[in-house]
Amino acid sequence: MKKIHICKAEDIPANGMKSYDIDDGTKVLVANAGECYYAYQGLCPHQDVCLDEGYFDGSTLTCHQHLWQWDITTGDAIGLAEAPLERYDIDVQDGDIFLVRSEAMSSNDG
Amino acid sequence: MRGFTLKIQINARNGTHAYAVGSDDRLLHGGLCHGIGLPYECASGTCGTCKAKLVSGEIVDHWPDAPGRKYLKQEGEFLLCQCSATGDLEIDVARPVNGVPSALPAAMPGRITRTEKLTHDVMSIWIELPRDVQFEAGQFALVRVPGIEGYRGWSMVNYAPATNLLEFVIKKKPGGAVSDWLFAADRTGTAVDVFGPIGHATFSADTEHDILCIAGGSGIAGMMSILTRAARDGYFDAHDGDVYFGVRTMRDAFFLDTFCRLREQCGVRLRVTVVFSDETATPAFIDDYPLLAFDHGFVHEAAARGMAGRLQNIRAYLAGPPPAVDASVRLLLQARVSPANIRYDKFS
Repeated sequence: MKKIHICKAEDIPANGMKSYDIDDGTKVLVANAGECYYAYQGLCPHQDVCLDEGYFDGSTLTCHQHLWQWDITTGDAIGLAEAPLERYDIDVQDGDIFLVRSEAMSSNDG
Repeated sequence: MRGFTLKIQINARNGTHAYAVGSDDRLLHGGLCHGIGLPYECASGTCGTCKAKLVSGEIVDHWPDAPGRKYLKQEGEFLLCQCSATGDLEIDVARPVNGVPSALPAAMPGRITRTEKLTHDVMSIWIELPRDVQFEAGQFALVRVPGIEGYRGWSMVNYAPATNLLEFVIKKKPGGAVSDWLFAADRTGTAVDVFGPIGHATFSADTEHDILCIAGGSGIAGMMSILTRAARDGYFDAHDGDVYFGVRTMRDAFFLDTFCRLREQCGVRLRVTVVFSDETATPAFIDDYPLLAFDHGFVHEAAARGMAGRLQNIRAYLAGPPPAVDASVRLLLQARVSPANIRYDKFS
């Protein structure tokens, strides 16, 4: 298992989101919803639009391009969306958020 | 079909589709006019929605600098709306492809039969077609004028169940080749190429929603078609209609007499608010239009004020400059309006 530092928890606004390009080239969207943090692919599965340019109300994430929506707790598609979001495992430790990768996975399939 | 005929195979997420297309036809047009619902929004090179990937065959790209190409990421990707084929093609489209839900579009020769300046930089033009066409209120057509490469997407202003006359509104844009051409001389009688109808931001009277239209500038065009259709059906007898029409100044306003007529026809449940971003309407101006309301500020802000507490059961139609559309989308999503009830065709 490999942990990659993404950001500090305090960098993510309450019920807000930010995206980060981490060292292995992955774009990661980190979102806060109450007590919880979630990390997903940073680009919309539809047209590779940056999801941090979209709308997030603390529960539903919306891509601004064609209004695809996802449940932030699961990444499941809602409404018009035709594909789920890929969720990344994270670990929140002492105010820092880490991406958790198994060593076997490459950045492309992780 | 124009040019010689080629076979196109589309591999979509939900299966394979095939159609024949002329070598001079855009691949998007060929699919749509055969009822194959290829993905698109602007159909004019900017939004990237019609992205596809070439598996085999050769294409010609008619606009290699199209802004929508910024959405192309992988080798072999191209825009269906800007490319034609030079031989048989096999193409991947990474989405489900279903039917075309409204009347099938077609390529037609058209003729500009009339133009009328509405303001210093907005013009109405009427294009006559060789036969009647059907379209849904809120749809648009692609128009190509002589000597200028590429199609422009313009929303129909009028509505009739079948008509051979399409009315459009054109705003003069700095550096806009077609708008410069239109404003430079009287173009009445000019032959043009038309492809349509297309567009998803449509109104049908079988919805049970109240209607909200938020439009900036010439974006009001499609709203006029929707309101005309709704008025014909008496839709505002049983539903609310709210229109927010944003322009910069009183001098930029148009269609106000048409709005007054619609308001007379539809009654008090249709409310039209004209919003000036750069000035406040003068008392004399307001007196000229007693059936209309006026506000000052950005059009989406006026809509937010006017619609506070009234966004539960709406279907919203949006059009205009991208910042106004984006801000309106944000307003509606915050009010928990479902994206299925937020309709606009993305032109950027």
